[in-house]
Amino acid sequence: MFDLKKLTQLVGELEEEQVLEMLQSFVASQPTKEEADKAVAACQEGMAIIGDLFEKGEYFVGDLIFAGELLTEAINVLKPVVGSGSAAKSGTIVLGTVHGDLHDIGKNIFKSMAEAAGFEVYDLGIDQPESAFVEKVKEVKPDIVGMSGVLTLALEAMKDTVDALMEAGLRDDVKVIIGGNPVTKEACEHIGADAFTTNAAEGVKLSQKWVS
Amino acid sequence: MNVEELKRERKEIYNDALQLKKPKRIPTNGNTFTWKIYDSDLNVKLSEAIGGNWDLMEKIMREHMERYNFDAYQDYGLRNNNKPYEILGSEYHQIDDENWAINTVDADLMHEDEYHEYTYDNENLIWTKIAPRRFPDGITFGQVQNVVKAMIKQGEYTQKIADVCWNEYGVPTTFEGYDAAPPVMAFSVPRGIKGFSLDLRRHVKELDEFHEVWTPGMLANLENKLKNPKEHVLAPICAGWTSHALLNQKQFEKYFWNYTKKVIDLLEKYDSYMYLFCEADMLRFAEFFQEIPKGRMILHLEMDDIFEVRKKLPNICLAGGMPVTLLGTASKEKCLDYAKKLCDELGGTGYIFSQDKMMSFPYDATRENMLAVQDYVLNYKL
Repeated sequence: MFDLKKLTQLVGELEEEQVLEMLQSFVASQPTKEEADKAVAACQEGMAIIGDLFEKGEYFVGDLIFAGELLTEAINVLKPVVGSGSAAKSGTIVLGTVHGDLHDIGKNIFKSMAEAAGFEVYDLGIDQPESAFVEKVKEVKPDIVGMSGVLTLALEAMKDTVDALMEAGLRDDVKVIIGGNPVTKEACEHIGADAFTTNAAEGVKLSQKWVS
Repeated sequence: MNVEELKRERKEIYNDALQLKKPKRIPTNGNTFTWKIYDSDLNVKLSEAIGGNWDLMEKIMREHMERYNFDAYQDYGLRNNNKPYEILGSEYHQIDDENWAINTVDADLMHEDEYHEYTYDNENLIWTKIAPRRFPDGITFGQVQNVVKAMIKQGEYTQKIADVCWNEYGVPTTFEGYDAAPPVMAFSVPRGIKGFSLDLRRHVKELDEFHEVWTPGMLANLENKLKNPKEHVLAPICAGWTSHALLNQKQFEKYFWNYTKKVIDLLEKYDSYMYLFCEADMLRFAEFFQEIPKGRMILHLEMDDIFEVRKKLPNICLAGGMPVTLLGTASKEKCLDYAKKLCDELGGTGYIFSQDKMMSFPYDATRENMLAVQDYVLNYKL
């Protein structure tokens, strides 16, 4: 009997070798799709533990980067046994680092945590002009647009993107969250975003509130 | 005030702030990096100014000092020197003249199975493996010669600008080089942020070994500097912390704090101090900093609320506090209100006025706001 609680615990403890060993044995045992979906859910619950430990101050950014990598590896091991049909989504997010900025660590952490929380995330990548955000929003009609940036110049690019969403008549259809080193309450007001955060876990919680 | 008087006053007010005594006036420090190129009336492109044109950079620096009159600066035109990368054909600096943006590329140059080589045969690893990965088309002897010449020119400018600042403007050099950071910070560049983060869990033994092997030599270098302080330099040693922002408490204590304690011991031995520029935030590590004796550190904050840090750390001289988000986008009045708050609440308690972030982009400040705030602080009566 596959120990889902143990799997969740090991993911939460970032025990990479043990997690992957457990999953490899599990896949070799030829589980049913239902059992495989439960294993995915157990990994996601492990990510929730990681989020809690981050909020308590026991884990920090380096651990979240590691966690994102661990979750990717875990899902890759499970891929052969997980069906292609999608599980129920929490919501949809279009995410990107804004024009002029190449940083993506924070964005990638947010993406991992959001996916672990059940969001479907369309990651545009780095250095994305406002038009890229607008086009993707038109295409996938997300609940949330997330913009990331580390450099102070990113703030103007974020404002340009929000303005572009307004011009395209899309602003009222989405919630906008901004994240990264330079974001502050004043910056958020200047940019016209709905929320700001320098903490990926907090960003995911905010996103969950918006879609609930 | 003549130059000699300025020299004396500036050293005195910095020392008073360091010792948590009320100075004659609040010292100021310009956290102005490539922003000063944008602000210059010489109207030069970013790529031109950081391309090893040191005559041009000297003009920019002089103009900057004459306009703002800070007591000292974090950068004297030396940051982001692109000339060596240009010679080697590297795209390490991604310079966008149109948008006044400069980015550096996070690179995975050192592989995770190379820790042993990095620890014990560092130069060989750099020349035989890391350099070829950075420069896959190879490097010629001629390019190396030209890089050496470019670095010599940079060294000459470093000495010249220090002399100009000190002897023509009475401006001391805040510090010379970032050399007091813990050994493990060496990995955030060759391993990249992601690689280093993964290594913190996957290669603990190797990181510990590197830390143990390299610590004595690094401390010996610092001790040499402390033995021979220079008259025109404020802080004999300096650290710029970046990768602490990745670490949890236990990792921070092991890799950063245990080393920093040894540095503090050296500072006690030589009755000296260090300048620490802490990128990102550090308030979650405040308990560690409470151990630092008075007069051993100027701590420059970036993202932390400086008022909260002051409450937790009454024992340390703090620098920074003026948000570039205000200087860049707020009204002059709002900026002055905030500067007043900084002066009222922190002035005289061990405080050096400066901007929070390393100002690198046009939006980091308007000239009007910078001038108004600097004028206010320089004339603030303690």
